[in-house]
Amino acid sequence: LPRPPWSRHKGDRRQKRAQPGYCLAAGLPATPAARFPRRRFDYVSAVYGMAHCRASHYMHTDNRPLSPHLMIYKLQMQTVLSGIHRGGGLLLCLGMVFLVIWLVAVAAGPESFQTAQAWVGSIIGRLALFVFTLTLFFHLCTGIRHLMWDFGVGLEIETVLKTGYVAIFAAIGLTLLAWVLAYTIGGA
Amino acid sequence: MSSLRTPLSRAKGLGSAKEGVHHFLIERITAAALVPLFLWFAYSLVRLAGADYETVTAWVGSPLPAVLLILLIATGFWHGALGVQVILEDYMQPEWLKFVSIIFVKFIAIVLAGLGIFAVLRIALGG
Repeated sequence: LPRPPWSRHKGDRRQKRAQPGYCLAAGLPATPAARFPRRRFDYVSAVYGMAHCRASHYMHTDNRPLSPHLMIYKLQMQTVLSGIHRGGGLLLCLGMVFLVIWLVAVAAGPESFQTAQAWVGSIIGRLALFVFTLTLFFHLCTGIRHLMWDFGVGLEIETVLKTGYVAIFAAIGLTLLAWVLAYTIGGA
Repeated sequence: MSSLRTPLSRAKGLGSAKEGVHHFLIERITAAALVPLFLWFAYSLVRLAGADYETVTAWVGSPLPAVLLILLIATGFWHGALGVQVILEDYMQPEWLKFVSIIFVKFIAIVLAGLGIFAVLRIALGG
């Protein structure tokens, strides 16, 4: 059998068993129930007592093309950056909540401001602020990449990989720059 | 001129609401607006690091930072709510829970944006 482009490496147990009637994810033989699934999620646990073999992992006996399942799909930069962009957006929503809390504390007077600054100035506060800064710059850089794509610019795979690396290093660079400046000219 | 719609589709009377790209466009427009806003905000935080109460309130209270902060909060929560909506649409499983959680997220976003904007105004106008 030729090695499918999405298999991780050559001596893959899953690859060796990538033939009709075998589970692509676990490399275990399938049962008739898996080869002819009646339900969408036809779990096979009768033989091995495990629930990790799903109908979609089995190669079908006919020659219908199968989409590569996430469990056996080689991780690519596009996927990882997209996932981090989305997760980072979620994290930044939490950051916005903290920004509002901080503004309310400032508005409430000097005492609550001191409390807020003590929280921000603590080790955990600074660590959280650092993570938020990094996430912000990362979301900013990858977001600009997404805006570029919306205009049809840079959609070739080589360009996507290149701008991906640019985004990663720009985000790290901007974060470090902001923190170095904060400690030098800001006097944190 | 014959229509390209099927008779069944015409009989159902449903079709495009002409609003399909609204979410997509607003997400991108707010994103574009947030780029300069957040760069300014990051720069301001760097300048403000370690500042005392008077400096911070004076900064929030001066006209340009006050307006930009309000815009940042409004645009940020708008963009955030739209983004979380997409995530919920993708992963939230029962249909009713998806619907309810999207509404809930939007409520929370509006409440928080209101709180933040009110805080800025109070500092700026000296409530």
